[in-house]
Amino acid sequence: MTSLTPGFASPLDAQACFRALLTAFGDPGRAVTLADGLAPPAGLSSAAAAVLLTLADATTPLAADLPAPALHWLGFHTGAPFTTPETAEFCLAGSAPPLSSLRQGSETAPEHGATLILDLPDLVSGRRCRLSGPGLAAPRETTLPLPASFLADWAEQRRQVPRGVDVLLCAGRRLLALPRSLAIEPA
Amino acid sequence: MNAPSPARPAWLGLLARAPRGAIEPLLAEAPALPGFIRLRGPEIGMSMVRGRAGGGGAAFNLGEMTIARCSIRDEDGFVGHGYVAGRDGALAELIARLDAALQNAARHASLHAAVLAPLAAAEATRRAADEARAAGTEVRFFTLATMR
Repeated sequence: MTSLTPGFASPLDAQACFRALLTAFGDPGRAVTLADGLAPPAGLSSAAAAVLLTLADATTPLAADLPAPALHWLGFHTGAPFTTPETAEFCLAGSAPPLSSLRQGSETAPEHGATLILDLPDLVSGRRCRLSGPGLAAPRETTLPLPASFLADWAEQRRQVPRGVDVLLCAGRRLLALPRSLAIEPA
Repeated sequence: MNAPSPARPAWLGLLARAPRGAIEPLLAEAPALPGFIRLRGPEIGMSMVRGRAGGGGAAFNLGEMTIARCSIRDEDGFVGHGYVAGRDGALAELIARLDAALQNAARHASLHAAVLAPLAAAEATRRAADEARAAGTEVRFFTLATMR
């Protein structure tokens, strides 16, 4: 007996999620809302589940600290192998680990840097930050639900461009991208 | 989680090899399959076939083949998978439903008698006919043996 549940109803849902991710990474700091219709198991927000179903596959090692049914669900639908956060291409967590502990990529292959997916209760609480960088014509002031230690890690990571980690914040059906090219300062 | 039945690979193989259109008529005689939800698919994709020439040496990539697959969960909570050569997603779904029902001890015996046993018998007949036809073309080099 098992409680395995369906993933995306149609491949079009994955394409819509991919489009939303492009929008989010192209306009850092703006939250985009994904379509309804995905019912992931407990412990996994709809947005984080949709992102992993869209991006993860058998070639992208995944690290996730989740209850067993949610891990089984992700494994079944993505085919991704599970690994430790240090070696994962996608790392799903409820709170940010030190960014330097994740895969950073190399000078010649920065695309091998990990993507950290933070599954949070909401995207509106937290501290005021000023974002600037590629994709933003003018600096954007917004509220990010991230601790001070994350901002320090982020400033440290900015010194080793193009190596580093991209971050996606997910809550409910909403997601917000922080590409590694972005500068984040307390406002 | 139930341990997978050791007979499961055999029935999945039997269902996947059954000729098109052979399963539906048998199901008409069998008890109805339980309701289900689709977990994945039906979807069509490619699979790399690997093999050894003549059964020896290292395996190499022979080529890709088209497969259809489907995974379902039935009302009793059993998850079934169907894989079949070709592009017939409906057949893959039907095999997945049968796979789920066959894992259920309460349904296994009647489905085995109604579906698997006739399919296995038909396959054995087909195989025997092929072997008989092949045997007719076998060349025995008895002349070489007797001329020595």
